[in-house]
Amino acid sequence: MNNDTNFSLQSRRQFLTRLGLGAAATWTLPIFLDQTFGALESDAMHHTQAITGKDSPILIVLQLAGGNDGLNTLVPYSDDNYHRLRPRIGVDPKKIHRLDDHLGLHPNLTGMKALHDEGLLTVIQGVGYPNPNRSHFRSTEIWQTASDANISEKHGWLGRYFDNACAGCDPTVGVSLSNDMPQAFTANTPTGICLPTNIRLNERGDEETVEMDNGGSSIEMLGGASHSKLSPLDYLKRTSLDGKMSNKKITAILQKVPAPTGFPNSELGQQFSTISRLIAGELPTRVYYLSLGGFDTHHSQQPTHERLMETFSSSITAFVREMKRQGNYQRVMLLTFSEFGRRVAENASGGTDHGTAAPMFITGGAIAPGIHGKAPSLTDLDHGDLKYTTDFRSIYATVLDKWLKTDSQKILQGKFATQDFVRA
Amino acid sequence: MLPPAKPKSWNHAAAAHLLGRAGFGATPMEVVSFFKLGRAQAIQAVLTVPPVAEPPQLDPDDKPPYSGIASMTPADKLIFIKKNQQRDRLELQTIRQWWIGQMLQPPSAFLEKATLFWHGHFATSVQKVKSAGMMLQQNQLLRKFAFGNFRDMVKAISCDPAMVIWLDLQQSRNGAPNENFARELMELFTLGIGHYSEDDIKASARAFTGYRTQRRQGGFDYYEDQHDATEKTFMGKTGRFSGDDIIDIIFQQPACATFICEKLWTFYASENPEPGIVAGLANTLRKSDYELRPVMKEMFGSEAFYNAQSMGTQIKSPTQLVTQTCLTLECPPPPGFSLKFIMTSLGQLLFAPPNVKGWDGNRAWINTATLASRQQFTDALVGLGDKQKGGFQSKVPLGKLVTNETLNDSAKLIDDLTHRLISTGIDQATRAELIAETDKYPKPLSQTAVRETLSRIMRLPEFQLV
Repeated sequence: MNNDTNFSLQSRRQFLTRLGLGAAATWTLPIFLDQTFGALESDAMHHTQAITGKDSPILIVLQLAGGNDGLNTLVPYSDDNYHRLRPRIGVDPKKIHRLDDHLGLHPNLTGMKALHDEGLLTVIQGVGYPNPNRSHFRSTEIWQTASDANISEKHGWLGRYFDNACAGCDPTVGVSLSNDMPQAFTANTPTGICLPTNIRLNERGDEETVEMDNGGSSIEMLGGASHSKLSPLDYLKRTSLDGKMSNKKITAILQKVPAPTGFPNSELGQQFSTISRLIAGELPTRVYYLSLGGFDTHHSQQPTHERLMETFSSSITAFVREMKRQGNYQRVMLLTFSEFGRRVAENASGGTDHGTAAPMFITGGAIAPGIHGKAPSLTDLDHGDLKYTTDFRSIYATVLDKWLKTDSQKILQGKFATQDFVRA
Repeated sequence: MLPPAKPKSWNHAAAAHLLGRAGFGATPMEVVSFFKLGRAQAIQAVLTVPPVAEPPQLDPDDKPPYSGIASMTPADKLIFIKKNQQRDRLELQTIRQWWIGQMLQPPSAFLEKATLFWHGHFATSVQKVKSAGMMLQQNQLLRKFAFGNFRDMVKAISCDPAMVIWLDLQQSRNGAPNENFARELMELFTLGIGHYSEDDIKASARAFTGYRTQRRQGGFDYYEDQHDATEKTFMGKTGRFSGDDIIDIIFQQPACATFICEKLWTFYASENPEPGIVAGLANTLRKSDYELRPVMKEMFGSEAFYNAQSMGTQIKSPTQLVTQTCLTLECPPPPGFSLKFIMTSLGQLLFAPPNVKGWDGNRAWINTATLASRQQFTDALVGLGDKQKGGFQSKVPLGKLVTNETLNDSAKLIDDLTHRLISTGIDQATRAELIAETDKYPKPLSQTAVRETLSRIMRLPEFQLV
């Protein structure tokens, strides 16, 4: 048994180093390479955006999975209704990082307060959509596909961007930092690769207790079904080819670019560290996708939410600092969202139930910093939930038109007014 | 009643298909004896409840008393917590290993496949439950009802300690109902979205108040003084409904049978079933008052279960990949510590689904990362994982997979091994390429040559299908 244990530690560590990034090094599938390459070349004639690893804009999307409590993130601390409706879990106004006379950031968003003070942070209040759905899965699907609440759309908004603007691009045009593809990436032609970091090692190289030490939430990662039209067999062939094509490139970058300092040890922090290395190494990626889970705080919300806020803030701040250091800050835009906010009034378990609108945070070289949008009322409610003031699809439209420089109407299948949080 | 399969469509391929889908696959010899039973007998074998298996013994004192923890020094506290976490991890490893072992036992494979379906359906994760004992208890519950009555299963799961914690019934009480369970009960467990209102959720959440479990001892408690016994209006009916009453009303909705039958068909047969198939199965389920076995019998005996949309079109789940590969290569599963990492990297860690919706399955299993991990697993299994880079000891009995004849005949070897490993078969060009590769080795083939050949076959995309 002793031998087994030793062997296990060693082999775990070694198995791991091979799993994530070094994974597909020996991937060979010569039999169908020819035909698939042919298909790729014909795709390539249709792509409209030349993508290089050096100068094209990069979008990073971070989902706070499970429904982040927006009201305890961007706190309307001067509103008496806030304190009346949240006697137990309301954030102490004395500890809040005040942004103005009404709004403040959660006490653990220290880094993000600094970003705000330096003009590196945009906050958009009250983002949601008409006829909000309070199911995690349905609401995530709505956000990821940018559909109306009463329409089921299979392809993701970023997948439609890949299909429309990046057909035939390198598969690393979309990178999901997990073992799952987000539904947002679901495209007619499967695009994008996965870089999982879901098992982490501590300093001694031992496995961390990630399995049971999370904050206690039934919603961790929200993936999505893939709806490619390819048959299962063709889908398998295509994916293996993408893996082969991307793996060498990524391995080479990670060997060349050392891990930057200053990133927290959390999984999210390490994922941002990986992204910053891939950017430094000029991977031709347009969209990176990450998810931070654990926000479904139906009971005993406070300690969980505090921990998540700290992780969220420290990871984003480290990333912004590193982008500045690399000189790549001008090339990135980071967008955060959650499938919904939470109910205005706390519940009796010291938590909050599923709600609706919530703030979005945006950072990057092209942003117009500050607080945008209209604060939702805490008294004029829809079944106890906030009424949204900005449609999330107008945020997407702004990102597509003004940042990724592509026709948002085609991708969102409708016209949504652009906002002024991106500088012209 | 779905159109039954024609007698002449019962052949070796059909028998292998039934074994692969209703169970976790089998060796060529087992396929032959299964075929000889005939379809009706074979289906009966599938739906026979095997002898009850002894579950693994876990520490009966599942959580040592926490009462003393407040008075501990910080250092002692840390040691105490670490010790508990370590014990929990080992126990989880034990129950995962045990369950995979059950899947590999021929008589219980079919019931275990159904149990796996229900684990994905009532997807509960140890990440929040934080007790291997409770997870095992829920696993036993699912096994008990997997060939039983769906309504009874839902009633039982509403009182299951792991579920009570997982969906926050533990915190739900009179005057302060928690909606988490009520919502998922309808959205994910019984009806599907669109068949209930937000008011139905609020009303039913009140009916499920007072459900409790003792974290330390497990077991279910009902706290009457915390139950909301007042009148509720739910789906057009009004009364002082209990949780079980709510479940009874849900099971009167036509959507209930349709919802679960579509999910069963998708799991066992094929994606996007025609409405007629789902309606036929749902009809049978209602007629049998929600007994599951008649539906499964009809499904496995139907023509559509053996048509081109169904056969060889399913992407193996990670659990299927691991079990079926071990069964067909006649080797034991990887040891517990490797198993956890393999299953995690493949994207299906048992007892830890990503969320309450379970695993999406099919194409969602496959991406660049998980596909590479699948190859690493099969390489490690046949002993080609770089020894320096870990993995585990290969226990594939190569001697059982080859003969003196096949060691000297590349074409025969390739045909034998692909027949054993790939249910869909392969095309001529692929076959020719595999034979050409094998011809490069000196004859008779060495062990390494056989391992590499096995690895090459299991790298084919076709290998991922069942």
